[in-house]
Amino acid sequence: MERTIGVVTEEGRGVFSRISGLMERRGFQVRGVTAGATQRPGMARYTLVIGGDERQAGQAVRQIRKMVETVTVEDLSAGGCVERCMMLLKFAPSPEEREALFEVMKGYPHSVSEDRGSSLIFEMMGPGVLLDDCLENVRGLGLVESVKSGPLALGTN
Amino acid sequence: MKKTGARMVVEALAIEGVKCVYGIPGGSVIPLYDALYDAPFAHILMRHEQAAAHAADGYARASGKPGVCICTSGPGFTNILTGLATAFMDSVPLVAISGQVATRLIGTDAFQESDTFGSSLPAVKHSFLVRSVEELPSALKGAFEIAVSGRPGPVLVDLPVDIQKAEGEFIYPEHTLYGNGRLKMQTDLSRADEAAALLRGAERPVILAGGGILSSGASAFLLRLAEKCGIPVATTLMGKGAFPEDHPLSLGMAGMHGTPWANLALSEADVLFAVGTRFSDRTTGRLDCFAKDAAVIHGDIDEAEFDKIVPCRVHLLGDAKAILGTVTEELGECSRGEWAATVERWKEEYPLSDPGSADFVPSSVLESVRAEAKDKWPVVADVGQNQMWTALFYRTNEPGTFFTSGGLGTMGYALPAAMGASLARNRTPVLCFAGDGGFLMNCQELETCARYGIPVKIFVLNNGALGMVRQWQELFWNERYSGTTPLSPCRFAALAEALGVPGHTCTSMVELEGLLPDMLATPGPALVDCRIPREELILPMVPAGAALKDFLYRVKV
Ligand SMILES: Cc1ncc(C[n+]2csc(CCOP(=O)(O)OP(=O)(O)O)c2C)c(N)n1
Ligand SMILES: [Mg+2]
Repeated sequence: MERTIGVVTEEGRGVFSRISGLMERRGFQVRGVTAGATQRPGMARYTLVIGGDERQAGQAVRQIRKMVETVTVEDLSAGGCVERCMMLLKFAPSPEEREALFEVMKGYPHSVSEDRGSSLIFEMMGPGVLLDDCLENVRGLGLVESVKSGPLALGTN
Repeated sequence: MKKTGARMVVEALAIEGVKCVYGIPGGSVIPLYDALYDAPFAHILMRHEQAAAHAADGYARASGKPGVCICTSGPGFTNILTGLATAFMDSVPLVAISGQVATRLIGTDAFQESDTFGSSLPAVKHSFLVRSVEELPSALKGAFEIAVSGRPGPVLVDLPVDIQKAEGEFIYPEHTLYGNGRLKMQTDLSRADEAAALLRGAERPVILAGGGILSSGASAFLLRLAEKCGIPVATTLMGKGAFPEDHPLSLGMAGMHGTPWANLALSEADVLFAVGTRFSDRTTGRLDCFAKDAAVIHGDIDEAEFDKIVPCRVHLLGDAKAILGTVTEELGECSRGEWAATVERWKEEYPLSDPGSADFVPSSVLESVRAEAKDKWPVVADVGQNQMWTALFYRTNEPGTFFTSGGLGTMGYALPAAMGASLARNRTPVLCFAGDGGFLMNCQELETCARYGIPVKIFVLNNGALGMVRQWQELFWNERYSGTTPLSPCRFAALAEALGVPGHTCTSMVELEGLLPDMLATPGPALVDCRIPREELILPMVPAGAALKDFLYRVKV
C-alpha cells in the first residue's frame, strides 16, 4: 500500500535534508519524492509517496508537521488527490519493433519528443501506475533507457 | 549603532536572561570569546565540550530556561554532539553556538571544518547555519523560541567566524518570530469528558507520569487529580519527582527497574492515564502485555507521540497543566478502597530492600546520604546500576530535584550536569551519584568544579565493574564477563585530590556516616569513593523483552 503526502514548507536551508532524514531515520519507506515551487513566493512544495497504511501516513504527517519550516502537511490519499508523474522513454527499435511500439503507445497518453528514426524519445505524464504499466508493455521493443519522476499531487477537496 | 556578530551574540544572551554559559574556545570562536570577555553573565570554562553541553543541560533542567553552550568548529562540535543528542532524547531546551570556518571556506575541507549543520540534524530540534550578519539576530531569537516552545529541545546555531567579526545593525526582535502558529502549538482537549468518564468508571485506574509533567511544571495539578480521585501514580524515569514518592498514592518508578507495585499496577490497570510520556521501551517492557486490559488515555504536547507505540482510546493534546486541570474539573471526588488495598498488599509483599541493613550496599549508602541531605537538593544520577539504585532508593519528593540521562543513557552525564544544576540554583549543593565507569568518562570536570568551587558532592558507587553490563552477563550470558570487570588501579580519592577536589574513600557504612555531615556541610565540591561489592545486582529487573509483571525479584539474605 502507498500513501501520498503533500508538504508545503517555507523555503529554507536544509528543509529537504530534514524531511528525507526524518523519513529515513524513522523507518518510513519513501518510494517517490518531488520538490517544487508553489504559487506563493518563498513557499516550496514536497510530495512524498511512502509505503504503508493510513496509520503510518498519519505518523509521517505528524512528524513532518513538527518541522519548524512546515506550513501545511496532509495525507492526500485520505481525501483524494490528482497525482501525476512524468516519464521519458528512449528506444532504438528495429523497423518491426518500431511498428509494434507505436501500436502499444496508442494505449497511453504520450507525445514524441524527439525522433531520429533509429532512435526516439517519448514523453508521458500520468498517474504513476499507468506509467509503470506502459513501461512493462514496451520492454521488448528496443527500450534503451527510461526515467520516471516522483509524483506531483494536489488534493481534490 | 553597528555591532559585530560576536557582540550581537553576547547581547542576545543577556537579553534572554542567560546567567551562565559553558564552553571551550577555539580558532573559529575567538571573536566570540573576545566579546564574552566583558559579558554581563558568567562563562564557565569546561574541560571537554561534551561536558559543556551536559552542564548546559543540567542548568536547563534545574532552571527551566534554555542552557547555553559554546564550542569551536570541527572537533569542538563533534564533541558537543553527544550532549545535544542527550538533551534531544530527554526534551531539554538548549541553545548551542558552534563556531564554523569562514563562509568562503565552507565546503572546501578547511582546517577544522565539519558539516555541523548536516550532522546535527537528527540530534536537535532545529539548526541554523548563519550565512550573513543580517540573519544573526533573528537566528538567535528563533533559537531561544524554538528551544522552549511546545516540547522543548536543543537548537544549534552554527556561526562562521567571519560573521562573528562582521558588523551590522543589531535589532533584536521583540515580538515573537515563530509564534504558536508557526511552531504548530495546538491544544485539543475536546475529549477530556471522555477521559473523565473512563476514569470515573474505572475500578483499577493508574496514572503514568512522564517528564512532560516536570517540564510543564504540572506537579501540583497531578497531585490534585490523584488525591481527588484516589488514583495511584507511577512515574517514568524522566518523570521521577513529578509526584512525591513518600505519598501514599505513589507507586514509584515503573519499567525495567521499576518497583514491583508500579509494574503490577500497570499490568492490572483497567484505565491508564499517561501524561507527558512517550512510552519508552524501558518503561513498557513487552508491548503486547503493557497495560493490556486498560483503556489508555494519552495526554501529551507532541501529537507525534500519539499511537506511536501504544494505541490509545483518548488523546489529549496540550500542555500537561491544561490536560490535568481540565480532566480534574470534569471529575468528582471518589476513592477506590479495594484497588488501594491491592496496591498496599503488593507493597508489603515486595519490599525494595531490607531497611537498616548494616552492609555497605547501594541501598544503605543512598538511604544514609538521603537522611543527611536536604530534600530540595538536586540529585543527578549517571548511567548504569548506580542510576537505577539512585532512582529506586533515593526517594524524590520535590519536582525538579532528580536529573539523569534517560533516553540516551549517556555515561558521563552526571558530573557536568550536576555542576550546571548547582549554578542554575545559586550554587546549591547537588548530589552526584555515578558508577566507576561512567565517572571516568567526564572526570576531567573535577578540575572545573574545583576551579569554580561548585558544591557538587560526588558519590562514586565503585563496584569495580561496568556493573549494568556485568549484571546482564551474569543473568543472561552465562557469567561470561567480557570487558566488564577490569582490574582497575584507579584511586578516585587521589584523582579528585590531583584535580583540586577533596577526596575520600569508604568501605563501610560506619566510615561513610562519619564522613557525611562534614562533607555535605563544607562549601565546595567533594568526592567519596564508595567501595561497594561487585556482585550487588539492581533488582527488581524486568528482563529485556519480558512483560512488566514478570520481574525478577529477590530479597537479600
Ligand atoms: C557512553 C556510553 N557508553 C556505553 C554505555 C553502555 N553502558 C550502560 S551501563 C554501562 C556500565 C556502567 O558502568 P558504571 O559506570 O561503573 O556503572 P554501574 O553500572 O557499575 O553502576 C555501560 C558500559 C553507555 N550507556 N554509555
Ligand atoms: Mg561500576
